Amino acid sequence: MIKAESLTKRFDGFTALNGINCDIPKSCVYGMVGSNGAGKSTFLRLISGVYQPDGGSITIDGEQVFENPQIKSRIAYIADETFFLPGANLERMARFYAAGYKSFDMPYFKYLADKFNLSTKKPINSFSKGMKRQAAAILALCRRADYYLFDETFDGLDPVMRKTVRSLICEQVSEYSATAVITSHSLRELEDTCDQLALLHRGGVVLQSDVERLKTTLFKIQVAFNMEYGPEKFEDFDILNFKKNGSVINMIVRGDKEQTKTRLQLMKPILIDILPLTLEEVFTYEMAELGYAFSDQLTSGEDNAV
Amino acid sequence: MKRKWFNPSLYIDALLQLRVVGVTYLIIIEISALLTCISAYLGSIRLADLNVSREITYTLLKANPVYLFIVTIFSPIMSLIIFNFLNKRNASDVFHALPDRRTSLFLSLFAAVMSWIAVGILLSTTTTIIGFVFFMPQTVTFEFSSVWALFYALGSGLFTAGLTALAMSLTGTLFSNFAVAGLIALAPRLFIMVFITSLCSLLPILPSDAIPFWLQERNNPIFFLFENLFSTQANVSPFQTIYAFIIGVLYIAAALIIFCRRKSETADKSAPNRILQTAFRLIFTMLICLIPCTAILNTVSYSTEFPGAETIFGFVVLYIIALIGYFVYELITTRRARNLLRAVPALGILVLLNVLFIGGALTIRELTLRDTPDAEDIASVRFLNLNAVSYNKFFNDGIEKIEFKDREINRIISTALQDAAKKLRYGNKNITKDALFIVNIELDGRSMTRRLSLSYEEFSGLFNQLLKNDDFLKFYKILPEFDEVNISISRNTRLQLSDADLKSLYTTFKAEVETLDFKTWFDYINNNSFSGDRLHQSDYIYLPDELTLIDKKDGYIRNIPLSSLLPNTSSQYMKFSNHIIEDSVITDMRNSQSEYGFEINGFGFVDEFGTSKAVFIFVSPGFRPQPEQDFLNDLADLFERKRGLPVDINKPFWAVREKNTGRYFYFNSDSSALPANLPKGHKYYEPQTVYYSTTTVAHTAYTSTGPTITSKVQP
Repeated sequence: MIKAESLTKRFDGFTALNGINCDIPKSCVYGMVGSNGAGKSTFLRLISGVYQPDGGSITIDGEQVFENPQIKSRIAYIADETFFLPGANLERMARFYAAGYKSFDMPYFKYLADKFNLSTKKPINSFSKGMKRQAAAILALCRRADYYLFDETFDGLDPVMRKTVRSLICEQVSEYSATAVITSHSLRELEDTCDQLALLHRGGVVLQSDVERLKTTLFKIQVAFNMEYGPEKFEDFDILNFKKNGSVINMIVRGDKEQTKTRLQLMKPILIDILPLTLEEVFTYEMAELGYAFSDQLTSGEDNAV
Repeated sequence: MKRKWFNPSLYIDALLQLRVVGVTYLIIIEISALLTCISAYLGSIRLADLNVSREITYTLLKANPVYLFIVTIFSPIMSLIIFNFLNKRNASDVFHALPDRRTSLFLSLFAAVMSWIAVGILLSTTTTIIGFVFFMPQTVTFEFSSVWALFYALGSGLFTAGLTALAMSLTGTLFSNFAVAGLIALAPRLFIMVFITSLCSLLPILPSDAIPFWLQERNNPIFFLFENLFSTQANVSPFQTIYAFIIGVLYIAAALIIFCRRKSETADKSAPNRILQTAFRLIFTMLICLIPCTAILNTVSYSTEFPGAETIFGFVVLYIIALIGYFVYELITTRRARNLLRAVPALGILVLLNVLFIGGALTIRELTLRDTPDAEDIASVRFLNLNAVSYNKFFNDGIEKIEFKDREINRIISTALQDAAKKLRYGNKNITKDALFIVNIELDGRSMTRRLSLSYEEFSGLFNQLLKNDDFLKFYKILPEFDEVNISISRNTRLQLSDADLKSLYTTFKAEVETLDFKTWFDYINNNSFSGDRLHQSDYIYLPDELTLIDKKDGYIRNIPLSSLLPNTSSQYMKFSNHIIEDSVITDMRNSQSEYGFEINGFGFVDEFGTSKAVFIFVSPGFRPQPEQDFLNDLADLFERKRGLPVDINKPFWAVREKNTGRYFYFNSDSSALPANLPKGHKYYEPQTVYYSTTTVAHTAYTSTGPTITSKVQP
């Protein structure tokens, strides 16, 4: 398990992460979303041991990560900007990582290179951006790590490759009990892949939850009655948003779906419809509850890139 | 603990990362070794053709002077390549994410650099030794000191690679890598050198030897390299080697500590924080400020009036230049104009540093001028350089071992020091009299080194006291045994003699020196006018070569000119020189169409008035007119009659140099009168009275420029 306790990181007086607390359980795909400069990459670099925290701690299975080769050998980190040795081809990079990681699986590397149709002999400099990302993903997956950290890895991959990489990650998680942490700008990107999600904003985690729980405990209800009524009729429900349009009400409700439906049906509506929410909508309403404008978090924010 | 200090897999991978530059380095260093072997071989064939068989001794640097340069260039290049990830964010992330401790990462990568360097040094050295030992016609041995050169090359590599790694650990851009590496390598030494040089300028009584030997620039591999670039005479001492290693190890240790503490986010930044950025900027600017500082020091020390407006303006201009450098450094390294404003407050520190430099020098000057012990306070003295401008380094080096405890000597030294201090205090820096020397004065519990000057009479008085010291007499007159030195003929002809001939020559020489009185010998080795590589006459008639003695034990080198002061030795030398002259040379003399010219010197002749005459004749190649050819025919006849006979340098003799081989041959004349058929264009050597810079007996020099007699200021 990855555990961050009051995790803080500063750069030249600017606080990139401010006392973050979060637990990332084992064998899960953990998504982290946030705007530019929110601190996603910084967080991943702290987990991977590249950065040393300025405050708090980051541990994996109870052990500090920084300067801990035993722990670091179980981590595969792909940065948002890929790096390859000058003039190297894929095979050379495989040998580079094999030198550092004892668990590097060379046969699996050859299998993946073939699967992705990437030449192991051609210089990686001659690859397109997308191909470089694929190469980085292959080299990470072949390390057979316990923890995979992908920093905006899907950016630059075509939809087919995205699906392929996603499935490989899920395979690692399900078959080898690995843990994957994926960051992205896009919730849609993460929605289908992640078990847990967190929203990072200006160095802090403003929301984190299980995806399934988010999707099932928050839902939209359309209901109509043949009498006059107002919000007071629904005082017993945990309502995040209430809109009345004529006689039809659209409510965003938190709670158990079936129980809520049953209770509403007892009120004898002429119309009742329960609609699922997209993750984006879930986040929007949850954030609104917390006092944030969610659309602002994902589309704006200071350029505090580190 | 596994992988705490070193990761073999990472080390091997680093070797692979460096393979392109590494192989290039190996090829270049091997080619340099091969080319120097071939060059030496071609030169040695000629010697073999002369049927001279002897043992030649080389030093490694003399055999291959280029390889040190190659090592010093490639070491930082490899360091730059392997640690280049520190300059890029994405690369830095990858390397710092590797499952290795920072210590292991650094040492594994650095070891790869040094492995390539060491392999190149070993390969090149092996090639050089094999090429010289097994393929030369002569028997070649390498001096034991070559071992030091081998390790010095390694130490030099360690030094420059470690320096580069240190600079890269401290910075995150290529420009700042170079800038900081330069500052670390050169700034401390430059500051000290300039400070001490300024002091020596303010205080002429401080010798330049006041710089502690461990701070002298020749010990810095980078300075040494450029001082001795391609020099075939360069050699390194054990001290220089150990020094290079120690500093190299210190650099590596510092680089390791900083590398381990370095934050990955320093990549792509000129410095890890504002404090270090300020420090680098200040050091850089302070180097520029050394110019106005030394200018101010000179003005303040030797001017009795307040400097004029023009002078002050000059200082202001110099400081403006320094200020420009200050801001330019900040702009280029950080690439942000807004940082220029943030750099302003640190100017206060710069001002303080300048004040400290100037104030420190003036304070030391004042304290030094007050430190003039009386004769009773002096325990003993040692002369580090009895003749401050003598060219004979051995005698200057060795005499410092002799301790003089004599009241009169103490009195002379004390008086000279107090007089000099008094003059300097009143702004008069002209304290040089006739004789200059450097003396180490032992007091109670401390010592001081001073450069003093005495008049002719005073120095004579001092010298008479020195003559009362047996160690002093022995030092100059007693020469080592034949097997205690390596002997060769150096300078002009580089006559190659067999061991037997050398032994015979040296035995004659040693015996002859013992017959000389001390003063004559002392003057000869300290104040002679040997100007190297040509025959000439001054106090004595000098042959074109010197006898070079290299002490096998301590490496001291003595160069003793061959002249008419040593007639037996000179005679034997001339016999050896004549021995290798071929008959074809005589044939060329008789051939008026010969393509080879001759230089002909005649010494010891007198004219009809009994005036001593020496003559110089240059015979150009090509057609010779008959009168000239007649003269040459006469000389050739004379030589053939005299060939094989010993030559007496103190009787009229001819020395003929054949332009093709550059060798001389010698023979006495039958008559003390010059031949009547001297060719047109001959010149006479005319005497001039000159005084050499130190112990000032009048000397006579003969030049062929014309009948002008000049003299310098008499004592």
